[in-house]
Amino acid sequence: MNALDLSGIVKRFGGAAAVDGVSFSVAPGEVLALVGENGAGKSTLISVACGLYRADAGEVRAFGAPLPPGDPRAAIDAGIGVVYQHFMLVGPLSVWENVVLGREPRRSLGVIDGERARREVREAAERFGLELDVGARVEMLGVAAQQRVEIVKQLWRGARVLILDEPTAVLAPREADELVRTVRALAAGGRAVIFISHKLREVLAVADRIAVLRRGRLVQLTPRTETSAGQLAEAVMGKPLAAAPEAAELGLFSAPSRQGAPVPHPTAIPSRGSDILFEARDLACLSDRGRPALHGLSFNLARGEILGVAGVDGNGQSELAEVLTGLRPSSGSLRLNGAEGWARTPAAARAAGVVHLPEDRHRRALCLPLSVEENLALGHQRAPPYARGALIDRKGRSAKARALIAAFDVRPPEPLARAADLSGGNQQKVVAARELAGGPTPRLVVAVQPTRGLDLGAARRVHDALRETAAKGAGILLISLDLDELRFVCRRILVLYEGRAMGDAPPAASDEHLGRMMLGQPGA
Amino acid sequence: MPELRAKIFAPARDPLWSAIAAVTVSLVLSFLAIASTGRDPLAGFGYLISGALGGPGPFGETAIKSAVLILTGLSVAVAFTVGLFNIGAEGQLIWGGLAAAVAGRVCPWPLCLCAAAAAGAVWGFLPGVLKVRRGVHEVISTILLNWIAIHLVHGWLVAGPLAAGGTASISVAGTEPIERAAWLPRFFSQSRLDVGFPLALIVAAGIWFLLTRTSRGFEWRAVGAGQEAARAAGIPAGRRICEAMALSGALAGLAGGLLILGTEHKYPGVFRTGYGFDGIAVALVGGGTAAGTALAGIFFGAIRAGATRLQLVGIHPSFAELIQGMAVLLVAAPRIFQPLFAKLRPTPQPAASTTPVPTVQP
Amino acid sequence: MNAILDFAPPLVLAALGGVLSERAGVVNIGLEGMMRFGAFAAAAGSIFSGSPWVGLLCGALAGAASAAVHALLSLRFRADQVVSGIALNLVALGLVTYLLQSVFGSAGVSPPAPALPRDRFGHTAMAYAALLLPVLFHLWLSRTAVGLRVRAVGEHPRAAATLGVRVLPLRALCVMGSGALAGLGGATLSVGILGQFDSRMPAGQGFMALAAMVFGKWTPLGAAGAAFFFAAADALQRQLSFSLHAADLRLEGIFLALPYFLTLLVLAFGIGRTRAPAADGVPYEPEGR
Repeated sequence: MNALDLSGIVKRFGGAAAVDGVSFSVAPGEVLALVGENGAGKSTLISVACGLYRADAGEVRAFGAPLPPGDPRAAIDAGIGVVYQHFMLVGPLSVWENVVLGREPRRSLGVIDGERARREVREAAERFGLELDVGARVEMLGVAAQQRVEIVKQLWRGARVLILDEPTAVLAPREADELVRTVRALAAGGRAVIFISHKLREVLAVADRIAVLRRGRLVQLTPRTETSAGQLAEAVMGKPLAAAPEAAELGLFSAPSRQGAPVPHPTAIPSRGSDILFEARDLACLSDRGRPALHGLSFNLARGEILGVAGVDGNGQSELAEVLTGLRPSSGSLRLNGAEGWARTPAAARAAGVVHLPEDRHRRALCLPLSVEENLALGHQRAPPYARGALIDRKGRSAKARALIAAFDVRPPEPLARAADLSGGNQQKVVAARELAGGPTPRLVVAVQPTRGLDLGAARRVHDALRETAAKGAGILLISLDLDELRFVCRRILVLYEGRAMGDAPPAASDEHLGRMMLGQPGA
Repeated sequence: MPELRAKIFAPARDPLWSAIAAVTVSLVLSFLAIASTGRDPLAGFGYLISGALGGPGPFGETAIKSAVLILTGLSVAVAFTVGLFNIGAEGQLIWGGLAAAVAGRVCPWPLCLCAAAAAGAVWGFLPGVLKVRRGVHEVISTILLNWIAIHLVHGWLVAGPLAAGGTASISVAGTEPIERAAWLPRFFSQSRLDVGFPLALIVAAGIWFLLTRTSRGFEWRAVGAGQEAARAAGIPAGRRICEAMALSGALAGLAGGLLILGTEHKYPGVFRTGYGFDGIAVALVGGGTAAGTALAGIFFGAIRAGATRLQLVGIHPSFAELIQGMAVLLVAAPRIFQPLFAKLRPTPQPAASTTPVPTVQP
Repeated sequence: MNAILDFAPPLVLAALGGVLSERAGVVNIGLEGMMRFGAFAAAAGSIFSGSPWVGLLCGALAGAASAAVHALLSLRFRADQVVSGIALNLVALGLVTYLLQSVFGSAGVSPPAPALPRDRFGHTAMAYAALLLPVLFHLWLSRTAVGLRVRAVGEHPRAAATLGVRVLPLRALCVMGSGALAGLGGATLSVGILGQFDSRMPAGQGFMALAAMVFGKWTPLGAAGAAFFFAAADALQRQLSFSLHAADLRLEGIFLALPYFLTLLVLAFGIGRTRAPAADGVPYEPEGR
């Protein structure tokens, strides 16, 4: 009997189907990988499988018994456990409270039997070799430990079907290897595992069978032995690789890069040190939690250079971007065109020619309730053609907005549309248009994960705009978690570890080499 | 509270229609409420209308009340634009009124109004700066500041240092009357209509211009629509919030000044108007825009003026608050009407907003 | 001391109501209105039944019923929780006055209502309830399974939902419980302290309870402690105005403003963490993304 059967699942949001008639099964002891681009419907599908969303059509069966739709509790009772990409943990509560929540061992009067709960949670963690301090407050734990809490949470509940949603996205390569071992061990113990990822290499290492989703449909389901990275990439993209050179940009086709660097990079690396535009020396700052986020970071950037910044998430990349754009105070020396003191406030940084494509564009880059036109004016709102004196220049602003919309192919090409109503890709085009072409030519561009969540066309548009801006003499700092994106766009990759530079590497460097640096071993 | 305006008004998609629907439904409900207690609802509504619009006298009453409601409504609406919920219009109005009463002893009315606005501005600036510098949520701080103002002004200043006569006797009579030159000029002898109403309309037009036509207004709206995005774009969000809150307070203070200079002519011993809270209702029903707020202010002013005549059928004037409260309840939950609108105008939503946007939530 | 035990119960009960609702993630500015409904319903129930205990029950039920409106609007229709609470206050102001006039023929006060009996120390049962309830509430919130779920729902509702906790029903129950407590607090004002309903009730006590909740950092014991402290300030002020000359009454306002001022200071410069529950005021969309 199968552990989990999905048949004919359809889920729509508004009019559009996020999942459109997907069926597959997983057997006990099997690891099934689910791959697809962002927005292919992977997350929606598992939300249906675990009862969080109610499907518009189709049926979920666990061990042969149909699950009532939209009832997470029934799914849990049937043994389905999900580890979400964004952890579902209550920060101020302790580890054991998070684990037993919703199924608390009780004494009389509804009082929780804390002793028993702690003991059971500890035992569950030990049984699977997962190291945990059950009494610690969850918000004090690191990312990998929080993921262990999530896994223990499901195992303690007796999950026999474990769904892991992009579990390695937040992990360092070594931690990811550890996780793959854990997953294989769980399968060997008779559990069914659904492993969601868009990293094909990982998937080939962990899965027994691989399912490919594209635009809400299941386009392929094959045993691992009958497919290859190249074939999977084609299935994910929906077209032959030759027709889609962007594949490498999205990290879909990354397997060959293990050996060397067959990924193309456009031009030769310019000689470092010549024509220095930007220089950071002994940069230090604190994180939101008051811990050192950068300490002693030094690097430089030449005019026209695109410098990639790699590192495991949370090693100071976000803080670096904030320091350079005036959003976070820092100590140390920052020189742009020989001048200092330009990064004290966001306004000063802007005046010095620093522009920002932030990581969290909904929060940092766009005023979602305002129109596209108004969002394009943001940051330039007091300068012509957007304003005349203290007043808004309505004609000038509208004309400029239309020009930017046309140049960056924002769709719909409607200046008065609300930014919130645009797709993610078009929102990012608006941000790129404003930052790169909305005002005077930028001197320094700080781009953080600028293509995350974008489709191929939009991603390419953003990369092209970055290259064009570099060609005009600007320095570009591209911070990304995706090594393949960095390899594709940059001429040099700087690796951050715990707020320090571990050195830099050419794009041709191997994954192993970069991975070692990302874990704190200095580059060769 | 980022994107407060969007949070409150966006579900409606169409604030005008949801406001009209809310007001209509609340009027129908109050009609039924009158009928259910065995009174004649038609007569009641007749009195309501005649009390609001029947001749120069009632019209003057409507104008006076509308002027105050427009100003307190604008006060709340201006705070909305920077994303803050100003529940403190009542306290700001009290300080404005007191400042006008004190200034009215020595100054002509235009200066008194300036004093009122300045006093209100100070009391509005406080929650702004507390929010920006200390992270104190403005809903809590404005509530606290309301009560501090009420107790300090009513329990201490007006009863003590500023009391008329300066005698040791317990005075509930309020401050000394203001000078004649400080009275707001009236237009007609048989109506209490004074310069307050045209002034409020001019202020509303000014606020409209400020918010929609100037760069400063744009920056305020940007801060309200996405504070972090505005900050990252180089707009000093904290300063803009404080500015807008000071203006918000000034508007409420001005409303207090109108009440003192136009009708009371001194700061009375008991001055619990409730206009500050009504301002929230006015701004909400008005959709947070200057024009909508002015219209809603006139409407609720008329209801309030008319409600005084409801006593003729044995209904307390606070019935106006009931109508207002129900309208806000309904405006607050625009989704109640959504199925209705969907039937009336089946407009397909743009596909872009409904397809899942694969972005990472924080 | 006696005066404190007299004045504190309404505040304590309403403040606990605030804690219950906000710990579950629903902002409750409507405490004032819920107290008002409770106070009126208690007086009416007491007058018509002749029993103040029935009055108390009516007060709690009326508070819960008005809170159900808040829950419906803010949870089912996703209204902004602050707006919904304010609207409730406005409706309470108008509707209760209207009902008072319709039922008792006067818009000022109700006829005298049978009041709660007092023991030989001069306390009503509500005084003891105000002492006992915060402790029970604290134990419930920190030790029981439901308490754990309430805390989780107020901090990270989606996390709780993935574990099968039904977020919206639980929040609705907490809001209604909050209304029942506030209604009971209001009832204490009318059938406990004054022995009749006065149309000015609760005269800002709901907002004061809100301040006590913040002052007490959203914990039951803290909020109750703050409520007792506020009641003590109130009692002291009354004591002073009896014992001193009338001229000193002029300072009354300063005394009355003090609790609010202190709360503001604690919020602005407070020692230790004054953090609202993370999901307080954030609407929960079951299929939100």
